[in-house]
Amino acid sequence: MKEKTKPNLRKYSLVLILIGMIAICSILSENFLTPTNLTNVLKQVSIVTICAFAQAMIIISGEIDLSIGFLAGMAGTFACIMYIATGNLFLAFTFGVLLGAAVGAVNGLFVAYFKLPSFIVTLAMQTICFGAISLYTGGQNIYKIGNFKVLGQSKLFGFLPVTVLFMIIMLIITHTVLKYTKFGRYLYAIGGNSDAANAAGVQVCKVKWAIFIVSGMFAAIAGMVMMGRLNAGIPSEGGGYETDAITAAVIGGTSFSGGAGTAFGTFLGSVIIGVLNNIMNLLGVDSYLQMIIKGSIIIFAVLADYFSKNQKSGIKIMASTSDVKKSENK
Amino acid sequence: MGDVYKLQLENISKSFPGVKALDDVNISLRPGTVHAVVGENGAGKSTLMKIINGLYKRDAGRVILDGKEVSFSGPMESADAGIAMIYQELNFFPELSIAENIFMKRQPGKAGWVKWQDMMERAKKILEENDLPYDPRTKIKELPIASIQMLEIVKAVAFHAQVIIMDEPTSSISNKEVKLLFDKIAQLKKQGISFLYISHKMEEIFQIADDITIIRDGKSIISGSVSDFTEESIIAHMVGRSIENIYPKEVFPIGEVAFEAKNLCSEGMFKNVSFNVKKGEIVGMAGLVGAGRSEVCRAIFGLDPLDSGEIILSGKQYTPKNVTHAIKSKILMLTEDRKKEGIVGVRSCRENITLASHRIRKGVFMNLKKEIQEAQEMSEMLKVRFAGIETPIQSLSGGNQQKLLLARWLMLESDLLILDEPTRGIDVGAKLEIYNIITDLAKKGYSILMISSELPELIGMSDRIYVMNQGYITGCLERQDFAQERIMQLATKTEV
Repeated sequence: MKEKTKPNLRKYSLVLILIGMIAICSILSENFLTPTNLTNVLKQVSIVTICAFAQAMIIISGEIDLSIGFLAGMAGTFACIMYIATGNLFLAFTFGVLLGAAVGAVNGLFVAYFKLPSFIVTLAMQTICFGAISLYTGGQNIYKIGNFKVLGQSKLFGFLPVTVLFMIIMLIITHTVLKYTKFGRYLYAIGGNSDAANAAGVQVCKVKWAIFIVSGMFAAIAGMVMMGRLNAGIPSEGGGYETDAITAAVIGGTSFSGGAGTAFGTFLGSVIIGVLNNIMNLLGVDSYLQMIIKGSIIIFAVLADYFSKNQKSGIKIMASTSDVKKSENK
Repeated sequence: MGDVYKLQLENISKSFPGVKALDDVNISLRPGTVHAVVGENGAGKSTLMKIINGLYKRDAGRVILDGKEVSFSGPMESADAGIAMIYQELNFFPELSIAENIFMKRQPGKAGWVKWQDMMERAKKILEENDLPYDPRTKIKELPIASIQMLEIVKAVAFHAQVIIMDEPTSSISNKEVKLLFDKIAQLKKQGISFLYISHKMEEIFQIADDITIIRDGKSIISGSVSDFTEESIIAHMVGRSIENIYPKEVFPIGEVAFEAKNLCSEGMFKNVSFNVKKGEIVGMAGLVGAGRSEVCRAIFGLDPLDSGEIILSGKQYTPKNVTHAIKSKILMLTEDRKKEGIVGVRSCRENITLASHRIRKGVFMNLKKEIQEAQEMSEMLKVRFAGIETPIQSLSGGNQQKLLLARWLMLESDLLILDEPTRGIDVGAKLEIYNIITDLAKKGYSILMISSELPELIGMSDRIYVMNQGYITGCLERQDFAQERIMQLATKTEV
């Protein structure tokens, strides 16, 4: 009864894929395996990875958040405006996070308490976010954002880009939430079977509401890092991050039907896409062709996941029934 | 009788990676009879069905229909040859009409176009011939489950099925509907149609079956005429050991009233329901499906609304608000539908065990070490059979899942433990273990309220039984007055 479960190969398959990719890439291009290039890869994926953490937690709970991209654009740009007005970076950052939380709270309110489908609510919210910021700025981008750019362009200790630092902090936060908190446990339970979670005393509405607020905050942080990196407040830049975040989460093993996924998996999923983009650029692959290759790889990844899952669960079920039989025969 | 069989299964074997699911199974179905196939869950009954209709390929053995060996590539092909399957979980399209469901994959028409009028007329005729009072345009989702099941049978016959295979057809219909179903089966038997009838329920088998085959661990243990068996002998063959008294009931001194409900009402569900449960007592709740038993309990547990009434729990007033509040107030409930409202299938056994209990611990963070230890101890105590606490719960058998769900509540303190159909859909061996656990809990002073549709189980386990019908409590019986007839009388009594 106490026998240990076999080491889960799937748990490490993403790491193996990444190592394999790095090995192949370093043969394909001598510029690949250099500290500068690798740092670049991490810098490039950092913003989308932060969005992907939010998306992964949302998908684990059985919902989806399509507002992430434009919410990032809006919150990031409003934070720039706040910074220009006050000159206080801490204030601007806090404002951005609160704005994200507020938008997330509205999403969550409709999804959790009015039981509207999150796909529709957050799709609508995406438009509202972009409309709101464009209305305020008259459709203009915000330039001369001064020191706000430290959020995206500075380096800590002279080598660690702040964007990467943000990503690592968010990774730690997401991992901790999912693995070590009750809240994380409730996310998995609700995504796995919300009726069962409810019947076990989990306050499903509250938890769902909360996760949308968290997602909004993550999106806002990603947005501010994004604007810092761009050295400007450009709301439209946020568009598309929500889908890239879904891609990263899914490649990272987050189950689209809810109830399964991890922070590290999501991180690896995002880095795998980053490495892919990077090597194709280094090799000078046509950018349109890049899109085709990327799309195909995503389908392939999901297909591989599908086959590995089906095969595995089939064998598992059989094995467990045989265990039962053996012990019943005693 | 003779040696003419409608359908014969000879030496069927089938292996899956790691396990032999079927091992040399033999079944011979005589024309115009009902042949019961019984066995514990996991004995291989479902696999056998799928071999017959070609969903699985057999490794060895022969399927012989009307004296000719057949081999189907899938359900459509077997249906064309006259073998229809009616699954436990009915296959239908809820948003489509009755007619569309009847003619699914057989729509009249040419080249992909459907002749609607033709289809509606034919469906109407089929419905009329079988006394089903429905318009063929009605959406399937508007029908009660029993009618859908009847429709499946009617549909099978309309397309010339000679053999109908039914998997636990009575698991989700009421006793009255069971009677209708059995009448239909008897009628079709006369027309020469044969049935393979898979079931757990002994009374049904004796009521309807002519022959029986008992399967255990993938082997056909014994076949014969039902009249040669008794309930005890069937169970003995199923579990491979004899169970003398399957109810380990022990009578203990019972304490004071722990839970008292007064005049509970819920619009359209139940009215003026009053009852009590004492400390260390197992109180049974009997009644037909739809009598309102689950609804009362769900309302107490905060899952369904309660309009009025008073509840006193350990001397204090209790008003149900939601499940969280109920658990905090020490009212716990094992819900009826294990899959829908019990397990979180994809998550591990450990997480399922502790799902309700981490709420009681202070702080935001989990204590993983303690969690693992407690989950481990609890599953050892309840003798759960699995590869380890990290196994996804959905890969376990129903009985083991049920033990884990019990474990979930045993992690908490309880003043009232409600068990709604605690042994539904689990095999005899596991049932026995669940009964032992329940008896143990009563001994420890738990107050238990048990809903069950199996009368022998209620009679065997309870200290007192309340009977409900149409939302009212129609009677309460003490242990010395327990009798199936008396309970059924109360369960069908209409006037209060």
